[in-house]
Parts: sequence; structure tokens; C-alpha cells
Amino acid sequence: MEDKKIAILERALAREKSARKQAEKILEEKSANLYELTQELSKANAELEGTISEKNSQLKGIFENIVDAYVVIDLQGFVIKMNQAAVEMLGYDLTKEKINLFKLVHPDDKGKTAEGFIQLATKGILTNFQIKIVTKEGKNKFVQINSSIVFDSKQNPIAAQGIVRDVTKEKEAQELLKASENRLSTLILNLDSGVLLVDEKNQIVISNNKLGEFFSCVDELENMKGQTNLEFTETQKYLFEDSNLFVSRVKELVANKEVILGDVLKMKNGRILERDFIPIIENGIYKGHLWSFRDVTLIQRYNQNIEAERLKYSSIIANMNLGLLEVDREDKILMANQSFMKMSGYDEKDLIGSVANEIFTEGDAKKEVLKETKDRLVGNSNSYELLVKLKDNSFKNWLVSGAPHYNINGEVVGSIGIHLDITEFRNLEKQKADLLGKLEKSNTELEEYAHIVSHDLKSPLRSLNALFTWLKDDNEGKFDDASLNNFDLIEKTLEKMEKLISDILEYSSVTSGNEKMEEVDLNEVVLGLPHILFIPEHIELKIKNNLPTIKGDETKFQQLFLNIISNAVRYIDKSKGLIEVDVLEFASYYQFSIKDNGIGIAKKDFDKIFKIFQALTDNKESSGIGLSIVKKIINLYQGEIWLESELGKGTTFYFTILKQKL
Amino acid sequence: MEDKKLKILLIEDDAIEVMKLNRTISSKGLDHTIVEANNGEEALEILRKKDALPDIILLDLNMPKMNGIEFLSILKADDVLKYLPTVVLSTSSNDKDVMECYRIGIAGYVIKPLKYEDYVSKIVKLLAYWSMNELIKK
Repeated sequence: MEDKKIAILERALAREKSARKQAEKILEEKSANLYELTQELSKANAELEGTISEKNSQLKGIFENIVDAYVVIDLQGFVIKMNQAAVEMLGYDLTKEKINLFKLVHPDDKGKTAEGFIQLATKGILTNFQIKIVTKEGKNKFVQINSSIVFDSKQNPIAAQGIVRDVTKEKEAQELLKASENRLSTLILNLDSGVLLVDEKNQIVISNNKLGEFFSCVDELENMKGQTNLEFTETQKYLFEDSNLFVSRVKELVANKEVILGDVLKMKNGRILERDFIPIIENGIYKGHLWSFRDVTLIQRYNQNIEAERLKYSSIIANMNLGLLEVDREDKILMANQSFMKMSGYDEKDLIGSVANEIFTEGDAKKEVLKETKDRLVGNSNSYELLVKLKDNSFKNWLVSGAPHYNINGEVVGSIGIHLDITEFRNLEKQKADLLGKLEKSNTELEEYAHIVSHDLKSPLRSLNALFTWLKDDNEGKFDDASLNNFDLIEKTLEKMEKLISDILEYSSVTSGNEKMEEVDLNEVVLGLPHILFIPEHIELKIKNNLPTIKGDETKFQQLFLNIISNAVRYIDKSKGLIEVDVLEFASYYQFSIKDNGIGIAKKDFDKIFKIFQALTDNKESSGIGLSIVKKIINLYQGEIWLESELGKGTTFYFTILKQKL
Repeated sequence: MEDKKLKILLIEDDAIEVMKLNRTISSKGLDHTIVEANNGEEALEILRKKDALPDIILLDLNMPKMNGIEFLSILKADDVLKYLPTVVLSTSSNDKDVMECYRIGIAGYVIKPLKYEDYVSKIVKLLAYWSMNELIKK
């Protein structure tokens, strides 16, 4: 048993031994592994430590040498740590003073900062947080803050760290950009042209008020964004006179992507639009296109009106009866109207380009035109008469009215002349002058003639008178009474004959044309009559109302009063005669009256007395011409003569004399 | 005081007018000499013989060939003859003639009256006036 036992034990021991050996071996292996592992671990640890310290020093270096400001604060906002950049940015130095970052925040942004801090506290991080701060120097600065919470080992927040960047400049630039964008969009919005901007995907990006007004879609302006160009075109095509053309043209322009300016679109409401299409190409890549629309209705209408006016005036110019000629500064003909060609005999191809003065004038007329043209080129208008030579070599008198022609800059570029043929008028004028000359001459001749005739007629009467006188004297006592009586009759007949001749001469010398025009005081004329007319004692000549002074020929007025008053004197049969001269003034004439208390004239003879050679009585002093002369003189002064008379009581002659225009 | 005897140059184309002057002078017993010329030319011929110049000239205006005014113009243009007093005898009282004659230079303008007696009275006065005038004697 023992053995057995020992054997068993030995076996067990052996098993144990081998097991231990095996275990030792494993242990040894494990131990070796462990050693290796430890070695590696320590190595790794060492490496790790190195890395960490490296990282730490790296980080430290980064924070401290970072360009941006780096700040660490406690939870109350007091700065724990700040780098040099932060000192520079904020103006505060931690080494010299205590700084609370919250106090640096601009009053406007206090609220925002509080919210930001809550976010930081809850989420542990705050990025791109922008606020305005006030530096120590009192400057406002826009800063961007990226910050995180710092925890202790037990995960309790103890501080916050953050990088503060000064973004003032960027902010300002942004604001400027924004402002200019605002301005631009306001500008586009209120532009007087309708604008439609379409992107490369053919979607509407921008449209403005004016476009809305043109297309009656003001309310939909906002909705239009995102619509495609074609959709928009389709909804608006009905506004245009030719809808299909409108659509097809839009498609064509969009497809071609070429700049097209000034397409004219007629709308059904009468509006006329001008459309530009401008593709937007950036670096050779199509980025969309811009439509712009301008309302040219007024301009078009204005142009139409101008055109209508132009047509009207050119029609007037072409058809007026005045010759119109336009020349340049060198007197070269630029334009001639129909009448001018008719007047001159030349046609358009003869005239255009030719020098007017060379064609139309000769001699003095040429010089005159040169002078007038020169005058016109310095801006003077003028009109003058000119002798022109026509195509058929005949000469005509033209009245030329010329004015300088200005261009829109106000420079004289030539002149325009209006020509009227006054040849006929001149001829008539000349004829008139000739006739007047002839008339004057024949009047003078007639007067001469009358004097000669009267001389020639009177001479034989004088001779007869002398001869009869001598006959009587040489034969004194040889004639009986009857013969002597006949001698007396012969003498009286000769006298009557002479008076007749004198009166006819007087009558014929009352002619218009060369009468004098002088101030004549009629009082003097009438009161002077007794010097040339014998007025017997028993006859009184008086002026009732003061007579006027009028313009005319004194001898004619004298003759006028003399002839009437001498008649009155002759026919007064009363023992106390009265001749009364009076006047009434009217607006345009004087009415004179000469009243006598003579024998009177029968009504049936009223007209007769003014006719030549109509003496009513067989008075030897009356030739019957006196009142004819009176009537002739009154006619000269455009007056009238008439009379009132009662047989046995007297006669009143009335006559008027037109007041002369002074 | 004795009246001068005048040497009268009568320029007159009408024979009866010449007779009238002659008869007036002789019938009134006046002692004047009358030289007759029928027209202006004749008168000028007489006057050019400057040895026998008249004292006064009586000139009719209306004459054939050279009329009175033409004659007067020639006379007044002559340096010697222009001093001869010339009296116009005319039928015409035409203002124009009177004016023209005085413009050229005359010593008087007498209208020939119709009646012979009136003529005689005018001529007698005229000659009486001139015969008591001092005249240029050569």
C-alpha cells in the first residue's frame, strides 16, 4: 500500500512536477511577455508623455503666440489669462489691472452677450459669436468670439477660454457692401426701365417695379422669382399686339445669347416698349441674361408728331408760292422748292450743289448778293430786291428775304432765302410812275396851252378894240348916233369875250395834282376880299363865327369865296344888303355857309347854276363860269356844295371842306 | 426939269401892237425914239451893235421862234446888256411867267389891257417914269 501509495504519490508528484514545470514555463513566458509589455508600455508611456508635453507646449505656444487675442476668464467674467494680442486689442493689461470682460461689451450688445454666455454655459461651446465691444481707448470694435468652457477633474466648469478676433474692418466692409447692395436693389427696383434678370437655369432672379408696371403684374413681382423666363413670357404674351412673335423672339434671343438692343414691342394698350437683351457671360461661362424694357411711347409719338410737322411744313414749302432756297456757307445750293424751280426755270439737278450767285446774277447784282450773304453769315436777316437772270436768260426782279440757318449747336451753317417775283409789280409801279409823270406833264402842258390860247384869243380882241377906237377917233363927227351906239356894243361884246376867256382860263387851271398845301386862315381870306372885289357901301360882309385855319391852296380858297360872294354882291337888290359867312365844325369836315339877302334862285335852277356857261341872267359881268369853278374847287377838297334859297328873300350856299389829315 | 428923250427898243411880233405904241407916242406928242424888232433874234442883232444901245426895252413875252423869256435869259447873261432895264408887256398874268421874269431880271411887268384908252394911260405913265430916271449912258 505504501508503495502503491508512494507510487501514487510519486506519480502524483511527478504529474505535479511536470505541471509545475509547465506552469513555470508558462509563467516564465508570461513574465517575459509581461516584461516586454511593460517595456513597451513604459516606452509608449514615455512617448505619450513626450507627446503630451509636446502638445502642451505646442498649445501653450499657440495660445500665447497666436495672432488673435486669447483670453481665459472665470465664470464671473474676470480675465484670468490673456495673450499679447488680447492686450493690444483690448487695451487692458492683466498685469496692471483687473479686467471684467462683460464690462467691455458695448451697451447695445449686453443682452446678446448674456444670451451667448448662457449658450456657452449650457452647451460648453460658443462659436462665431459676434458682438461690439469698447476698448480702453473708447473705440468701438466688432469682435468674433469662439469660446469653450474649461472643466476641472470632476467635470465642474471653472473657467471659459476663447479666441477674440477683431472683425471691425470686415464688418464695415460687409455693411458697406450691404448698403451698396441695398442701394443697387433700390435703384433697380425704382429704375425707369423695366428689368428682368434671369439666371443660367433660366429662372427669374430679379424684377423691378417698372417691369411690373409695364406688364401689369405689380402684385406678382415677388411670386415671379423662381418662375422660368419662358413661363413668364407665356403669361405676358397676351399684352402684345403680336403675341406669337413676342414669344418666338424671346426664345430666339435666349437661344442665341447675343446682345440685342432696341427691339421695339407694340403693346395692345398702345404702349410702345424698347427692349434690350444682354446675356451675362462670366469668364466665358453663361450666367444668365438681363432683359430691360423702356417705355418709348412718348418718344415715338413725339417723333411721329415731329415727322407729321415736318411733312406739313415740307408740303407747305413745296407748294407755297414763294421760292425757297437753302444754301451752305459757300453759297452752294442744298435745297430748292418746287416754286423756286418754276420761278427760275432750273430743275433740281441744275441747282443742287451749284453756287447760287454764279447762276443767278450778273454785274452789280452779283456784288450785292456777296455783300448780303456775308451779312447773313454773321447772323443777320435781311431782305432786298435783286435783278436775277433766269435759265431762259430773261431778267426778273425778285424780292429776297434771307435769314441765317443755324444748326443745333447754334452755328451758322448757311442761309435760307425766300424769293418772290415782283417783276410785274415793279412793272406796274413803273407804269404808274410813268403815267403820273405823263399826267403831270400833260397838266402842265394843258395849263400852258390854256395861257397861250387865252393870249392868242385876247390879242385879236385887243387889236380890234384899238382899231375900233382909232376908227372912231379918226372919224370924229362923221358917224351918226346909231353907228356910235353900235361902236359901244362892239366894245361891250369885246369886253364880254375877254371876260369869258379869262374865266375859262381860271376854270381850266383848277386842277388837282400840283396844288400847294399851306396853312390858310379863312378869316383873312374873307376879310381880304374887299381889296379885290368892289363891294358897294350898302352891302355888309360879315363873319358870324370865327372861321378855321385849314390846309390848302390859298388862291383856290380865295377864288372859292370870291366867286360866291361876288355873285351875292351882284344879285343883292335890297337897300341894305347883308352877306354872312359862317362855319360849323364836324368830326372830319367843316361846313361853311354864305347867306345873302338877294333876289334868290328858283328851285328848278338849283342844279343848273353849277353847270359851266349857265348864267341865269343876262348880266354882262357874268360868264356863267364862276360857280362851276367853285364846284370844281370844292371837289378838289372832297367836299359838297348845295344851296337853300327863297325867291325875293335870299340865298344860302353851303359847302363842306374835308379836314386834311396832318 | 426936262424929261429925257428915251430910245426905246420895242420887241413885238404883232403889227397892231407896234402901231399902238407908235400912235400913243405921236398922239401924246412924246419925243421918244422907237426901234422896232419883230422877234428876239432881230432884237439881239440890233443890240450886238453895241454902239447904239436903247435906254429901255419893252418886251412882249409871247412870240414865235424865240419867246420873251428865252430872250431875257440871253440878255441877262451878257455882261453889258444885262444893265438895260427891260419892261415886259404881256397878255398873260400867269403867276409862273411873272415869277420867272422877275427871277431872271426885269424892270417891270405890265399887262396889256383890252381897252386902247387903258393901254395909252399905262404906256404914258410907264414912259414918264423911265424918262425921269437916271440911266446908264455910255
